[in-house]
Amino acid sequence: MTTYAFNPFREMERMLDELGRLGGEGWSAVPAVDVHADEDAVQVVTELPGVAPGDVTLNIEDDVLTITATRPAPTAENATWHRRERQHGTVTRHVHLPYGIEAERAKAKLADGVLTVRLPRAAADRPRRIAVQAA
Amino acid sequence: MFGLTKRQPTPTERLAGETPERRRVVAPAVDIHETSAALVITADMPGVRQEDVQVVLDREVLSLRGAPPANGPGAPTVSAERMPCVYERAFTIGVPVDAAQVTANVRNGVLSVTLPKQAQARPRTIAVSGG
Repeated sequence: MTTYAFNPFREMERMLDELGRLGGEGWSAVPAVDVHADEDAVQVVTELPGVAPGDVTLNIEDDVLTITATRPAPTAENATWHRRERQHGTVTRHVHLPYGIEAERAKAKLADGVLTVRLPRAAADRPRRIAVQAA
Repeated sequence: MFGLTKRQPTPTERLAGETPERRRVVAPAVDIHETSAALVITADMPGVRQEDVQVVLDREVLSLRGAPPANGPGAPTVSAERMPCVYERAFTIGVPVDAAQVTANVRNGVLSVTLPKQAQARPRTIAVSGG
């Protein structure tokens, strides 16, 4: 079973977001991110509904992955807006990776509004088995 | 009205964590706009596919529900912020709409529902004739 890191600030942010939806320019809340890792690769999953693949930028610097996404403001001609809660503008999120990765072999896909980035572990950073010798 | 018919978990199930609907319910952010011909509701439901969505128009109440597929067992989790959830929200539609013509589609995790207005609800321009 997965345990979820309880972040009271994120909870408050979510509550505020749901209560007030006080958007304005830019996103009021950063998108939620999951990080999974085994010995071979890190997988970063984040929610970016309605974002086109071309509007996502991924940057890797050392062990920090930076995700930047832009969603244009909705437009409709001769329309009356009753609600405008969906966030638009640009949002940036930095994700700290558990180990060094090979940026050249990284893969990313955006499906159903969910971005999945797979980052293979750097060969130099892989765990090594050390043989124990008898004295 | 909503949720009353939903099966409540038994205390044993609650303890075992095996309730049928253990995911939290989240109200998705929506945009609603109205043109002279239709009412359009757009809702953010990341992870939801076409087959995961339920859109019901019961008299003047439109309810939206999206249940994204559960994440399969993968690599060990380092940190998790995306809690498993079900998106649910309902609206009272104030204008008479043509229920048979309502369309809905999901694209990139965004649900959009178009409710065409009945002819009587569309604005009309009245020509003024001279006396």
